[in-house]
This record gives sequence, C-alpha cells and structure tokens, in this order.
Amino acid sequence: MALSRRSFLGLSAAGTLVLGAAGLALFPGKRVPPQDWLLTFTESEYSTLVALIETVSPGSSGAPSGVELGVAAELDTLFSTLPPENGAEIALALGLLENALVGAILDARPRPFSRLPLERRAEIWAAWCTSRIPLRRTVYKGLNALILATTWGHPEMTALAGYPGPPTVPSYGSDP
Amino acid sequence: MKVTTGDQLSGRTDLQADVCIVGSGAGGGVLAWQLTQAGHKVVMLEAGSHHTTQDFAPLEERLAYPALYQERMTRATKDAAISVLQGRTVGGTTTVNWTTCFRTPERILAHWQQHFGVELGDMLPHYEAVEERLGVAEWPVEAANANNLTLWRGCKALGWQVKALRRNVRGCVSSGYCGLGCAFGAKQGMLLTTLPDAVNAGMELYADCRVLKVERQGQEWEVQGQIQAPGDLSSTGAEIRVRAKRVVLSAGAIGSPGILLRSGINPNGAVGRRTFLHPVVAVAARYEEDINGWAGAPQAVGSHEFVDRGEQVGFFLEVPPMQPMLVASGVMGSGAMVNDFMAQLPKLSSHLALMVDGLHPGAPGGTVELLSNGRPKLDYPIGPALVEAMATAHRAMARCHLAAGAQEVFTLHPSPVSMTSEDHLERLDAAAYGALEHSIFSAHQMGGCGMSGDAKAGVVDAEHRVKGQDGLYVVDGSVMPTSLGVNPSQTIYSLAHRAAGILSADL
Repeated sequence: MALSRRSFLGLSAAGTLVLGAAGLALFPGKRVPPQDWLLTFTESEYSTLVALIETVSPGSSGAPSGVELGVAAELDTLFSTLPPENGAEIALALGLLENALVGAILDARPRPFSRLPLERRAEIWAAWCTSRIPLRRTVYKGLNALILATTWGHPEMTALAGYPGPPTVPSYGSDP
Repeated sequence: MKVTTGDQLSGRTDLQADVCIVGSGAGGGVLAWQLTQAGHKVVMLEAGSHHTTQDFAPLEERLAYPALYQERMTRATKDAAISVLQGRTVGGTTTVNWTTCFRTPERILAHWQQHFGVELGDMLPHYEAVEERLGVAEWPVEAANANNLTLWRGCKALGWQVKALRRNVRGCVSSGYCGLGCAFGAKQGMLLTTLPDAVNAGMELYADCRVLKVERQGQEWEVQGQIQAPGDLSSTGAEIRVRAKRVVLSAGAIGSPGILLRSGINPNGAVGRRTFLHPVVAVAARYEEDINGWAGAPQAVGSHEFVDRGEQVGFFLEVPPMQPMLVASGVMGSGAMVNDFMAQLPKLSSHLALMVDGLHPGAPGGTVELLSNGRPKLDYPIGPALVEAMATAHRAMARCHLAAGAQEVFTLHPSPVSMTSEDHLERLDAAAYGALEHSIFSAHQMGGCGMSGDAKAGVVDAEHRVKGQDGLYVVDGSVMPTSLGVNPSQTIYSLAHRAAGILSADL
C-alpha cells in the first residue's frame, strides 16, 4: 500500500523518534562543518543538505557547484526568516533522506545519504522524484526547486547561461 | 506617501475608523481610493512591508523574490505540487504582477448568475473607471518581445485565435522585470495610484501588520493584529487594534479565508472551499534566433483558442518572463542536465497554459485550511479532468512552438519529452500529467470566500457582505465563485470599485 503524505505525517512522534535515533546511531552520516553559525538546521541536517545540493547542482564545465556557491548557508538563513514550522518540515525531509535505516528498509540502501558517492546519490534522488511514496515526491519537488532557484540566483551561474543581468535603472524621483 | 511601518510601533496601538481594510492589493487599494474620495475615515493594515520604487533596483531576483512574495517565494500547495506566486508587500500582488488586464468575460458573469445566483449589474462604469485611473491600454504587438512573438507566430500559423493584451502601465520602458517590482515607476499598480490617492485624502496606512482575527464588539468590529519589523515575518511583540463600523477583508484568496477561519467565522461551512488557481503548465522550446526572454514586456499577447472546451476543462495561452531564477525553479530534473538546459537560456521561449478551474464538476478547486500555527495552507487536489486538460495543453503548446519555428521543444517533466517535428508529438502520449509529474505553478489565486445569491451557500452575497456578519465584508479575488479564464487583476479592481458604492451606502 502506498504511504500517503498525510498518513506518514500521522505516524506517532515516538515511532518517528525511535526510527530516526536508531538510524543515526547505527549509521552516522558524514559531517560537513558549516562556515558560520547555523540559524535553522542542526549540523547533521546541514551536512545532509550539503550532500543534496552537491547532487542537485553538481557544477559542470566551468560552472561552480551549489556547494561552492554557498547555497546551503543561504537556505539555512532563508528558513530562519520563515515560521519555524517551515524549517522543521525541511529538517524532517532531510532526516528521512539521510536515514540509513529507512533507506535499508525501503531502498536496500543501508548507508546514510551523505556517505554515498555522488552517482549513487543522484540515482536515489531521481528515484524520489518518481517514487510510489507521495511524500518522497513532495520532498523532491520542494527541495529540488529551492536548490535550483537559489543556485541560479547567483550571478556566477547566470553569466554562464548568457544572461547579461538586469538593466541599469536610471535614478528615479520619489513615489507619489 | 506616508506609511507607518512596523519599526515605528511598540506596545499596543489603538485606532478608530469608519472602515478598516485588511490588505492593500487590487481589492483594498481600489476600495480605499473610492471610500476616501467619498469622505470616509479609512485605516488600512497590510501584512507586507513598504517597498518604494527606489527599493526595486537593482532588480536582482535573489533579492526581490524573498522580499516581495508570500513565504519568501516558497509558498506552495500542501503537497508542493503547485508553486504559488503571490505578492506580500504594500500594493499586494499588483506591485509584482505582469500587468495583464482583462475585463471579466461575459460568459463567466453569465455562469455566475446561472449557477450561483450572482447578479452584478452593469460593470461597464467600473471597468472604465479603473482603466482610466490605472492607464489600462493595449500593448501593441509591434512592441512585443521575441518570447511573446513565438506564441503569436505559432497561433497565426495554426489559425488559432490570438490577441494583443492590455496592460496597466504608463511610460513603460519594456524592461521585462515587472515581477520584481517596477523600478521605473511605470507600472500603475496600487503603490503608485490608488494608495497615494487614499493616503492624500486622509487614509492611515500601516505596513508590517499581520491581522490575526476580527471580532464583533457591540455595534463595531475590532481588528486584531501583530506587528512585524520591516522585512521580517515574526512578531515584534507589538500589537494593533482597530475598531471600525465596517471591516473589509482584502487579504487575497488565501489570506482572507485564513482570517475568517482564525476568527471562527465560517458561513455555510464554505470558507476556504472552492479556491482556484488557474494552475499553469509550461512547455519550453529552443529557437535558432536569440529570444532573450528576460527583456521586454512579460506578457504582450495571449490566445483563448482553448478557453471554452465544452464539457472539458479549458485553458488559455500566455508566456512568462524568462529571468534565470524563475526559469530554473520550473525545472523538475537535477544534476548536469539542468546546467545544459539553462545554457540555452538566450534561445529559449516558453509558453504557458492556464487551466480554467471551477467551471466544471471535475475541477472544483482546492481548500484553504489552518495549520497548527494558525497560518493558512492550500490543499489542491488535481483530478482526472485537470489531468486531461494539462495533457491537451502540453500538446497544444508543443504544436504552437513547432509552428512558430522552434528547433526543439521540451516539456518540464523530470525527464523532459523532446520533440523536433509534428511526428514527435505522439511522444507526449506516453508522459504522465498532473500533480508532481511536471512543474505546475499559479500566479492567479481566486475563490475561497465565494459569492452566492443563495443564503444557504457561499461566504458573501453579491454585495460582498459576509453572511450572518453585519458590517463585515470581503473585497478581493476570494469572492469569485469560479476562476475567470483571464488574468484576474482587473476583475478585482472593478469589483472593488463597485463594492465602494455598496459600502458607502451602508455607512
């Protein structure tokens, strides 16, 4: 039976905590220290986010990767300015992606996402896009768009796409 | 224009007015203009911050979207399938929209009368009044950018209906950056027109005020809000209370239902139900010539060839601006393929198909609900009728691009369907359509506080009065009983102009 987003979120808090704690205790993820204080995510969540950004925006033929552009820190800052529930949803999603126990049960992948090689991460992420589990597709859509939009907001990227940047704005008087 | 901002308020601010308007967008802006002209004392509360024309420079997407849009441009439906673009700034969405204006289609007004008992009377004086104040005029096809011209050429080649659009601009320099706020002072949104008119006539405008609820107190209403620092979404701890004879909710199709639900007001159990989005799907194409779709008026032409498909859900065709961040956010794939796609940006054109939801039983819209933190969230299921329309729209857009001379056409599926000739259109048959199958977004939010002439249905009557709540009104896009099949801004302006007469008579 497909696990709906609603039914997944309806899992008891205790069950979720046990699963998460077991996954993290048995299979700790790769840690990437942040450049600055984190405002929204834990260091563990931030590390998963970095691994995902490297997967979604890997950089190629002269284009910097999303990691090099600092997209993870930007998203950490962005969610610190939104209601805390928004950041908590993203943190939950990152936890699910990272969790090796969940990965082992559902995907025969008994390693944390952040410890997988880039090619394997790309396969897993692409599979989330078309997963039979609606929650995974929701996570994919939300996070993928955020990462791509943030990456392509950087002038270093847009210049590579042949975008000349916005027009010069002449000085304008005061609004009425 | 004098605006009181969140950093100027502390403790509790108490105000008194004839009318308190919640929201400064298309509904609230026009209503305030007319009510102050009639001599009424108006207080307006806006959740967004005050950004002036000077603030819109340097027109960088990464700065503008988080500052000017709801939820810092991350607003989406509950399942994340539809990205929802909606303004959150003084002037509301009129500050960031793409300026396309249509009068309400006659067939829609007839549908509202027949199916919802909504008789609006003669709308012509209201259309004409807002057109004059907002400078609504046809944008000549000769001034259209190459992105719009691919739609124009394709429709002409296929014999489809296509027309130049009308826009609310004066002295437009065709920068193409309407979605980031007009830094050239040309867009005739509320920020530069009706709000200054109203403030100059005595209205008090407060930005950074998030209204939590409204409450009946004796013969008056009290509006209760919390104050945020400019640019911030969290409360400073300061409060605002406005007591008024009449309260008007103009907070938009997601905000107004949210306020009513938080206030425990839910006539006929209809608040938040039948919320419409004109869900948008897109098909992109690469052309031999440069398109440079980031420059030029974003929307200059449109086609209503498929707007009325009888028993099936209709759609209409327009184009979006093609700034890189907006384009990238619509890509469903990931990894190196995105870089390859984006490298073609100067030669990419994109067509949009906007689904006309709410007219058919199979497209009943979505539902605004409250989260545990009291903020509204939209659940919008996409059923088979919309899936069929989205599939048909993909084929139509692909045909249009090919007829316009595209070299290669791509869908926005995770694995894009690629076509270089009409023979390849059958590849679209194997693709999946609907929620989370491809990119979908919405720039038009309507319904949720629908009008109805039946006392036992809908949220407001045809005079915008909330049923069973004397002195409480809704004047914004949320009152529409269905979506429109055209861009909704001018319908909201015109409804608000009409509502001003109703409120004045009630005061």
